[in-house]
Amino acid sequence: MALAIEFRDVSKDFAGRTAVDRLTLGVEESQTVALVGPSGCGKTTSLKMINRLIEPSSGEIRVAGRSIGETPLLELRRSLGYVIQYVGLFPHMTVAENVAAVPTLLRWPKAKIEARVDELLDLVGLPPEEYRTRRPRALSGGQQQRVGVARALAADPPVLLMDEPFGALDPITRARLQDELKAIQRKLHKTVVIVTHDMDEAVRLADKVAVLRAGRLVQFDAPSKLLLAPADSFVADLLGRDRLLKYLRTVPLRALAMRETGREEEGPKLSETSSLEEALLTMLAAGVSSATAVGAGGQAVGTVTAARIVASATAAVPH
Amino acid sequence: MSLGDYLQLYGDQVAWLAWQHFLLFAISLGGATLIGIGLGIAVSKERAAAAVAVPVVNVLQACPEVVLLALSIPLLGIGFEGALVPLFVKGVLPILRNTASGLESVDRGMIEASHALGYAPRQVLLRIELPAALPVIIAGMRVSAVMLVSVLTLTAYIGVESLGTLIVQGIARMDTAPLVIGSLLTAVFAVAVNYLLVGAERLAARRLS
Repeated sequence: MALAIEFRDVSKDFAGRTAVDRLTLGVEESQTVALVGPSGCGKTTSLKMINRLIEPSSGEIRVAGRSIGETPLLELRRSLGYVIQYVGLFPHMTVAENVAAVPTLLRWPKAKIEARVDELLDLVGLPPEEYRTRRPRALSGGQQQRVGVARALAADPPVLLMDEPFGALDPITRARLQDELKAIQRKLHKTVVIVTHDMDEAVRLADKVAVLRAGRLVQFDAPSKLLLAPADSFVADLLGRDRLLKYLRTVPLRALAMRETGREEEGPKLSETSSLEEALLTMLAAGVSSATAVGAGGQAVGTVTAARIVASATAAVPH
Repeated sequence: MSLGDYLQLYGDQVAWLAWQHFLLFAISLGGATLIGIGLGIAVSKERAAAAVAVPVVNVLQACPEVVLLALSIPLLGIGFEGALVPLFVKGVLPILRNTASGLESVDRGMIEASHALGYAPRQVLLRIELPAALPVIIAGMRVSAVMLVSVLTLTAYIGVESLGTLIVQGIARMDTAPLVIGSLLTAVFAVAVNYLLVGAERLAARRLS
């Protein structure tokens, strides 16, 4: 697949300190890539080099196959949606005016802008007739962040850059917005680069995770690969001792549930789309060692045992 | 002479002096606003401008108005220009200071977001930064405006006609009527200007919250 964003041997020095060290990384079209690592690892710097908020010291970054220096700066930025942690909404503008920021810069006709604003507010779950004329300060943190996402998507950019977008939200709101981002992603197929220090968020949202340490790329893999086979102890520590549980979180029950004669229905029932982790936790809570997966209509599709879940994780770990 | 008698005799002249006072005020506040905001932007954006402007501003700020007026006579002569320039300088300062500090206090994340969305630098300034700093800028204008209304009376000493002319006449002739009328009108003018701009400031701030 074509690369939407490509880092080629990119470095960035700040006054003698190397923030990003010869980073080479490709993001495929419609993929979500998470940049993770501890503070100061260069993840935000890397992100900001894509839309040239920061200029690289050396190396080349390509967006849609073109070196970013070749595209006029404003044109480049308008093709890259941008969402940041503290939202950065414009307080003197209404919600609608905020969402319309880039279309206004692009001088879209008024009717087209209005239609687009309403469409986006619907998409992010803010009924337009209620929210259009509100001011950002009158919204909760989660609602502000939804407006931030709508604003970033306004001119339909192929790429979305997100810098700790949900970092300032409470855990419940964060989880909900993560789910919604995934739903939006399923609908729109944007290329997304998201910076986060939250490993759970990275595993949850990303197709591939890039782990950075002191400006260097340590590992670049799919979440399941990362969780099962961390490249070194640094990555393993970053993932936490519960990384295998996190792995189970990425596997749906459907993948393991089996029809066995004599045990069509056993233990608590769970949707076949819930994760193995959830199944294991449900069994633990109920004090049993097996559970039944049910389909959308409530019919049993198979059973799974705790032992088989454990065995599946063990088998998945490469040796 | 009673106040009523004085107004009956010299009412036209009082009105004309009040009008002159207003004109001087409007010109000096308008000019001070333009230059104050312009310099404020320069100071907040350019280190070099700040290095030159900040010490100059501090010295002028500390200088009493009367001294500035006195100094302007040998330089600019007696009359309209001689009065306007020092007033102007004094009026510029609060606006300059508030514009610079207002712009510096604008949320960095918001400015970065506007750059990232593809606003050109000029658009960031005009559409994002200045509107966000507006309440602080208006507060600076209010300080200038109130100061200008009262300091304008001093220009009577260098031959400019304003409400100050009545005060100077009153003092010179030991006549309370023009003295009281001149002072009262100046005070009312200052208070009115103050409240008008307080209102504008609140309006601008309400848009932000």
